[in-house]
Amino acid sequence: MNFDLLSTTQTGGCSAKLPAGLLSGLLKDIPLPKNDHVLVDIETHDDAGVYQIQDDLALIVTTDFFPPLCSDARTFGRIAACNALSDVYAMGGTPLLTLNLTLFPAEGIPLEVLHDILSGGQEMVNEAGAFTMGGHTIVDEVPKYGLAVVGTVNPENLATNDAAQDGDVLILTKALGCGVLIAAHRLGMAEESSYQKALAQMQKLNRQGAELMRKYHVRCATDVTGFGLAGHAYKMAIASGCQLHFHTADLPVIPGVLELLEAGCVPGAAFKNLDFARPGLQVAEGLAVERKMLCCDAQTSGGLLMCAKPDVAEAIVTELRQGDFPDAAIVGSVKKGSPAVVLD
Amino acid sequence: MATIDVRGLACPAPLIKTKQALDKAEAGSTLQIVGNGEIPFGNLKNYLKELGIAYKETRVDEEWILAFTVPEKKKEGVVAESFCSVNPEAAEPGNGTENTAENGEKKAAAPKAQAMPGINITAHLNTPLPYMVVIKSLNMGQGEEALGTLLMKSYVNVLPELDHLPQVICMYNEGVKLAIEGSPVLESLQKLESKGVKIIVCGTCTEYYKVSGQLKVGTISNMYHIASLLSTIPNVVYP
Repeated sequence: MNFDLLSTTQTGGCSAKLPAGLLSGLLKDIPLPKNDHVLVDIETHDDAGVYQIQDDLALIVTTDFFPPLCSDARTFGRIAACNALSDVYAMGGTPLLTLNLTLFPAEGIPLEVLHDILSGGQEMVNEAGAFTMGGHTIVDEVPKYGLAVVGTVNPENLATNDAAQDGDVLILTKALGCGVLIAAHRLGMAEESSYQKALAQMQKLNRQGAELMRKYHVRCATDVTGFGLAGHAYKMAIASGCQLHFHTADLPVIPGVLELLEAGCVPGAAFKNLDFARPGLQVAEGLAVERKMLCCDAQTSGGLLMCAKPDVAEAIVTELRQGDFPDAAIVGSVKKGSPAVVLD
Repeated sequence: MATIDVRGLACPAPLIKTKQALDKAEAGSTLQIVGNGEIPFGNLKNYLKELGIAYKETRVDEEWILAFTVPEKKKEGVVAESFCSVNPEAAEPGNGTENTAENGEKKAAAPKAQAMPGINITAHLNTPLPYMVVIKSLNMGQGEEALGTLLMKSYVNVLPELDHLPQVICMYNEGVKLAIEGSPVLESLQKLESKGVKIIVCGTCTEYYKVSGQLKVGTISNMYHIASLLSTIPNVVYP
């Protein structure tokens, strides 16, 4: 099917999120009742909600959907599904059930495109070992697709974003720069190899990251998506009451991205994320603008940011690199102090 | 004055065209960017702020114009003020773009200190060049270790008394151990810092020697920053 999905929208992927600051502002006056079984809710701005149903079993619930970020329908479906499943992995869990959330125009785009999106999504759900239970399709001019996901986790293995501790080592599992490359691709500026690497990376399930977190008892993690590394790190710093220090030179970056940023290819979402993180952002003197903006680049289906104990961090990174995540790296550390994200 | 037309372009194209024009234009000349649309307007203003460029904005109906003076060229994305202590963000975290105008002026003025060395010997003698001291081990010079550490100690302790202070003291490899608790030169380093000398400590090194938590002076930095300093500061001194 040769229909260019990119022709339908200007802002695709996670960069289509409403600015974080706006959202938290308006949610303030809508109180949410809860009971003792609610282990994680919106309060800590975590990746997903968690509800305990037995001593050794909790459900993880999450949803994510967005407009197209690439031309090919099947690839879009795969990326959107992978991104939605990621929140379950970020909590240390395993996806179990999914529902398709689909918006698609009644006319103007061939229906085969919808078939390919859903089929791509199903490939990813199959790979995750989860089961599609149905879905919902609404007519809308710009297509949007994603999943609602239910996952399971033993509460002992739960990884939240509020458990970072002084001395923890920060690990990032995927390279940064997807947002920049998607924008550059639209303008014909992206190297094809870099763009393909971004697409491939966005279709990589964070499953191995979750497995290693269970194996090495990592209790604090998040996935890096629409709010960028700086935004998600800031949320983690606030939830945990600590500072996240990043050595920007150690951050994995998709080749060509820093050069694109230097040339002015800074997506609008990066400025939204900068605004969100600004109250807690401390940037080392002399840090190049492109490195700062890289940290604000909105990722779609990005990697996991884990807080590991120093004695297991190397082992985790080694296993990640030998497995699905050759770009995984130690990128900084957690320190005491009022919530902040420090970039040097 | 050169005019760049970015009307009708979606982001980030207006930023890219602006950056291209900036890279080509002569320092000190004026550029004006003409565009429309609120999103490109906001993003481009934010981008200029990040680049440390102060602008004047005008609006005519749906269209807008951003005019600014082209600053001195920077080297390979390295900001010139890395040794001129004019980065408001470092001084006041999270407040970076509030004082754009001031920010821009300072950045434009900063490269004065970057005037390349060796052209005019007389000028040299009258105005000493900025320099950086690199402390790469616990010893000064090579030879008996006991003598080396003694020499390093007295060198650093003498530094604060000099008329011409270094712009930056950069510490890497074993040298970082002089910045931690119990260092015999801690007081002198703190004194230098209070006199405005930037003390840059290699983060990889403090991690490696497991002393990050004991750091008592200086700012942790990375190889990118250290390499930029080494490539931009006219004189580097290895005691």
